[in-house]
Amino acid sequence: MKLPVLYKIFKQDIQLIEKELKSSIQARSRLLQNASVHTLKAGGKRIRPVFVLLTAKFGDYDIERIKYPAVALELIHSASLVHDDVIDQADLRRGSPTVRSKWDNKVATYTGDYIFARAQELMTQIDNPLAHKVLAKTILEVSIGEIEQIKDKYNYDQNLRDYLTRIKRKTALLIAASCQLGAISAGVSETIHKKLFLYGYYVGMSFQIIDDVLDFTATEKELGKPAGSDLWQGNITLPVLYALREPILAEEIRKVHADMSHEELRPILEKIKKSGAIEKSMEVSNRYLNKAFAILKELPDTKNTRYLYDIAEFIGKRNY
Amino acid sequence: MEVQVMRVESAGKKIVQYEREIRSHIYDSFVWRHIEEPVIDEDKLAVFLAILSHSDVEEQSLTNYILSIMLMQIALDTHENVTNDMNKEDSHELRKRQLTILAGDYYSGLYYHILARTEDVSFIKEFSRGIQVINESKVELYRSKEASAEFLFSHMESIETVLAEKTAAYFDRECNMSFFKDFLLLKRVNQELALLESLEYRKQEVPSYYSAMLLPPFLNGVEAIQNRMEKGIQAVECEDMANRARKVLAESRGHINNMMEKGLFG
Repeated sequence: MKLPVLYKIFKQDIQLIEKELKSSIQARSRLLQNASVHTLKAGGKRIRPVFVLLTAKFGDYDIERIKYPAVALELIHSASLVHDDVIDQADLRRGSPTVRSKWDNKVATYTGDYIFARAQELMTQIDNPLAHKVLAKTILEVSIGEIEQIKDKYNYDQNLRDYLTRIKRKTALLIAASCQLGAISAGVSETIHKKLFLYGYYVGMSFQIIDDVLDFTATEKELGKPAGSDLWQGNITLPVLYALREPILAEEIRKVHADMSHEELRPILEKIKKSGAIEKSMEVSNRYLNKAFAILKELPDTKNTRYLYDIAEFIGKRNY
Repeated sequence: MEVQVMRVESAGKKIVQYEREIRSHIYDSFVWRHIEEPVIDEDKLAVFLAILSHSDVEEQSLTNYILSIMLMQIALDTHENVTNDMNKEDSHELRKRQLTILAGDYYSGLYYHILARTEDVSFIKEFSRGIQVINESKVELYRSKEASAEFLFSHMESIETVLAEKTAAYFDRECNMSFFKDFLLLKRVNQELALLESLEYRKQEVPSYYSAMLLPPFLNGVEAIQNRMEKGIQAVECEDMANRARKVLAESRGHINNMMEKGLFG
């Protein structure tokens, strides 16, 4: 099943989430309102809310209750992107001007903080303390991951473990939390919501590895930024780690720096693509996907479990 | 006199203990190598302690509330240091900015993490509303073009006092709130006046709202706060708090006098 089909099945609920997202921002400050709405308008796959909805189906599914964690998780993701754009000095995201480029870094910082606080407020509609402990731990780990990423920039001596820990914190945990929080909010048993957390974690790992691969293989138009931006910014991703195992190529990669032009970078990107690093990275991604599938086999064989299978499969095959 | 000395020592000791604990949570050798070391605002800590120490909260929860509130304050203050302009070639400056935003996010994550341990979901709700109000006021103040004294006082007060106000309301400890609000607002005004003085001295460009701070309505407003505080100090039971208020009051009068001597007021 393709993702659009899945979205069609949940069309009504996804539309409701989209509507709630838009109405969730009610700032008295017109500027903050505009900047927040601008952020949410940039869109995205809304993958975190979809995971919340899907995993809530394992319990007492009430969209009027489940919408809160679904909206909150998307807002948290959006807030972190607004801050990420300040960190990366990004002018465009998904082809639209970022808050920092439309206004400035300070406005972007306040906007991110505002959206984040709004997400926390919405989340309090779920009065189960466990939900807050899970979310709080995730948010803390995500921020540690972001700091680690800065620490490891242009560090070509890092290993696979460093990379995997970083992407776990940076991406996988928020997807895992989305899966677990959907389930917790719907009153699912501990055994099941812990399995759903693991499923989300494995899918999230695969998702980020593919994202890192796409930075080499997708076009500038598809990415909304020049290909190879991660390497150019000093983020050592899995394809680069594999490419660094080739001594001659490693020598060239180690010379990459922020002042290098994209023209200078292009031949290095081509060599990385031809080195087998992409295929090896995809193998790692597939191993995580298979682990996600294995978890699903431990869950009741229902329509919803199959949807989770489909969404994982879609993530594994996505081109951009 | 003996009782008063003991009160000062006891409040002072608690503040030092909390400062130490907060520091142990936020210290990071890598991050602190690159960013300005976060300031733990002792005066705000004293206000939160004054609000919470007479509530019915048990000791461990009290510690969690104080730690989380202060961590959020530090997160908000850290994000104030995010800059706009910089030399594009300066990688140190870029890293500083990146880590400033990330450190703020981390402290904010710590706040939520510790608060979640208290299992008090209603407080998380109230507090998150407060954080929204603060950021709204920060944007308004930062981007204001034509500011009136009323506008400045309103947003500065909101930025500096909403967290204390939310805490006091939640724990039903609002008795000294107007004094605490004046105290925190005057402290903020002092910081702005100090900056204004130094910018004037260095002949640099000042933020747009600073011009409104040099006009009579603002000066009158500051004097009104000073007068209210002067009277309020008499009623403050905790001597440590009263001493802090006297210091802020003296600083405020000092700034106003200096600026009058320099002929800065219009």
